[in-house]
Amino acid sequence: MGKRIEDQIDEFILDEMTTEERTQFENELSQNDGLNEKYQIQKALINGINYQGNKRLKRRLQKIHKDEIIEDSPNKSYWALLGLMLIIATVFIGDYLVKANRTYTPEELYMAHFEPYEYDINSRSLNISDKSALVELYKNKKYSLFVTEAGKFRLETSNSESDLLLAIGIAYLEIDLPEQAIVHFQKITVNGDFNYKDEVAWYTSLAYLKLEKPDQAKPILQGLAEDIDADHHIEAKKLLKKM
Amino acid sequence: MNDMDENIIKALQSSDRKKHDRQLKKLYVTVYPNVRSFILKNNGTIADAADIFQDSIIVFYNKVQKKDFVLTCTIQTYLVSVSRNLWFNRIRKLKKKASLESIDQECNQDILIVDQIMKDERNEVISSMVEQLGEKCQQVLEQYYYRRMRMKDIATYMGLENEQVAKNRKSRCLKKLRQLVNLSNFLIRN
Repeated sequence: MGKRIEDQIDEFILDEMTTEERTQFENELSQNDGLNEKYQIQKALINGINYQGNKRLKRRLQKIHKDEIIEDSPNKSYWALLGLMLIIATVFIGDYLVKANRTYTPEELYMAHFEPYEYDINSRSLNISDKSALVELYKNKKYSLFVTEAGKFRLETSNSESDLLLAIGIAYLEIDLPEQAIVHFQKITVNGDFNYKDEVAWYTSLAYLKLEKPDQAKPILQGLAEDIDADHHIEAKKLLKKM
Repeated sequence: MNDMDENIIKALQSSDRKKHDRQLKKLYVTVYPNVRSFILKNNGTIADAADIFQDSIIVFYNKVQKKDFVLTCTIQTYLVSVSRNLWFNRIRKLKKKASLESIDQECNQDILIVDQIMKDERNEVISSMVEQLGEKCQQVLEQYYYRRMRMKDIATYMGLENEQVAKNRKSRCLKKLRQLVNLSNFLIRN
């Protein structure tokens, strides 16, 4: 049984014929109008099927692109970066303006600037006596107990070292007794210990802030701010700016 | 031809759809950045790059399915070369500026296949008729004509009894398509 015309046309279009078969088929095509018509129709249908195949493949490739490729458009990234920078700048400027125009309460100023003095047996005291137990209490932030024990220690030893007085004053600040803190700082001034002048001034001004007496704190801070060699000089300037 | 190229070609010639997709993804991710960079440097957009690259893969895919398929360079070189030519063709058509001399002649003889196939109004109409066929008919016709699969493999792939059953189905589906096209009064011969 001979091959169907449709199969022969397929073989011709899909290039599955031998050279001999091909030549013979081409001859028939040129002589037989009916066959030629069938061939043209089948060729158009196959082209349409292939076109459809390409369309499907294109859709698959578009999906791959969407799923696998992260496009980084220069324009998009530029605008995204610019947008981000603007947002950050706005936040910073806004924050700066808020801070610049803001008025702080003395308590807030105290909280922002207070840092406890580092009291140690190796601090400025020349007389290294047996006060290591006291130092441990201070370091462990047991300020109430420290104040009590330090008072006893001073009575027993008649110790009036400035660093101990300063530590007691700081401990009073920590336990919210700024008046007592000021009393102890003033004792250092009475002692005439020049080494502790700046520390005394700084913590006394903070004690006044804690007492909500900024007017009394201000001249002390101005003294520190004007003296470029003073300890706490920069901190005093910053604090004054906020007042 | 390197191992990667060989694997890609084998996969594209096979009937395994998963293998197909895996290799197409690999090919896409590997070669696309080169084509993208070329198109962007030559006044194209990212959308142009994706479109051109996808068309170049279609050209390659059609080439791979052919019985006399021979590749004289790597797949990457081929795809970049086809993409360049497709892009120059498009520019020339749009702006009538690019000269024929600028077209890269390296390893491509069939770059116009896509242009011919994709932009034919007649194909568009017949393609819409193909979509009206049932899914199984579309499958058998695509596998036989587009993917050039053997009847024996189509029968196995579609779970048909034997090669002859597959052949009959293809024949019936082609007849159905012919009828649909005739019904639409579309003159195939014109």
